[in-house]
Amino acid sequence: MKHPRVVGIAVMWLCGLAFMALASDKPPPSSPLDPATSAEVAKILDAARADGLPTGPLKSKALEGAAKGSPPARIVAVVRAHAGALAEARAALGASSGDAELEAGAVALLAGVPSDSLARLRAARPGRSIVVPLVVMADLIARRVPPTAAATSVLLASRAGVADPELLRMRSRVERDIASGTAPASAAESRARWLAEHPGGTASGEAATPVRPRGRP
Amino acid sequence: MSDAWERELEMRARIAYRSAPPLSREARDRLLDQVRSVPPPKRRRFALSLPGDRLRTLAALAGTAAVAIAFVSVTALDRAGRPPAPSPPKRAAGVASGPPATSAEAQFVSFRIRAAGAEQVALVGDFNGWDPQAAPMERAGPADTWAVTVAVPRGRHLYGFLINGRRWLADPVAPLAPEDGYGAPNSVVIVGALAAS
Repeated sequence: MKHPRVVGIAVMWLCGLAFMALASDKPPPSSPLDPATSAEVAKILDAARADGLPTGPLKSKALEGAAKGSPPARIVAVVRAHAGALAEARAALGASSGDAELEAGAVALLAGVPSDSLARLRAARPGRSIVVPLVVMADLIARRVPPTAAATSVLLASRAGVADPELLRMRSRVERDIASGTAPASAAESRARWLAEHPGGTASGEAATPVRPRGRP
Repeated sequence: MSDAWERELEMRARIAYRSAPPLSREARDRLLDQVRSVPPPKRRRFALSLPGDRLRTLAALAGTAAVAIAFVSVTALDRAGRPPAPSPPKRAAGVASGPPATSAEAQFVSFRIRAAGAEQVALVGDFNGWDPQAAPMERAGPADTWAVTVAVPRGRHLYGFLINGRRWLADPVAPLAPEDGYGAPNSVVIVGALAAS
């Protein structure tokens, strides 16, 4: 070794750099929930896990409540209600349903869709994901389409073999109809009926172009 | 041995030393050239003779190994804290744009929102743990448009836009999820194809 002292200093310097890099690593984020709320949520998660339900959506619900500044009691209530809805969705859709389907089904149930509508939707699309129909159903309800009308409309289109992209176009058309003054239930039912009669077609007076890419204002 | 004989030997020896011929210049140069032509002994690199040098060598090698291990550890920790590497962005993805099926674990998705008068806009959703600090948006062009591109894992996700740290906005062009107890409806984005059950 020609310059062992220089090499030794270089090694010590590099070791210092490595230690600083380790020391500056961000600590894991602490829970945004207070300890009591965390404990309550943990109980719900444990019960869901024991029941074989996905716990990711429940954790997400708790974090969403914290981010939105909801009071602890509200957060616990929402997480508990969501856990119940997940169990009900699994009963309606079947134990082999994926997590995304269960989560979308739970949201639809919480929005007021009858659980037998979920089962009928599953039967209408055997072997295919029903996430998009459930998302469309929930969107229609959020736009003031009554839950039963929303479920009926999506079921009608699904039984007619309407594909997911067409369902999504139907959603945006119903949104426009409502914005232009059509009653929400009428907008959903008429669009679904037309789509069921013309699967793969386009609504009158509209170009056969996809909706705008998501995210463009 | 007589004294006379001894004196004679001494005298002969003195004469012999005095009569030795002087070394010529050529002979001296030749001798020096021969000395210069002999290569010096090779320097041994590791087998140093002194025990102190040997210890220093071992210490330097151990330090180098420690540095290597430290950097490998830093890299491994850094990678462990990151989400799975997303697939290259093909286009803005979401429910409305209907991205094709993909086997990637995550995909880049661009989000845009028009928020008049906003000073600060953040994309907050289940894909970033509902952390308002995770995805701050940046101004994108005129008309109060804000944008951000993030990696989103496959699946159905809820999100919203947080304006100035207080007001929640849903995405005006995405499907809505009904209000579920927190007072503000979320938007929905679906990334990748969702396998049928």
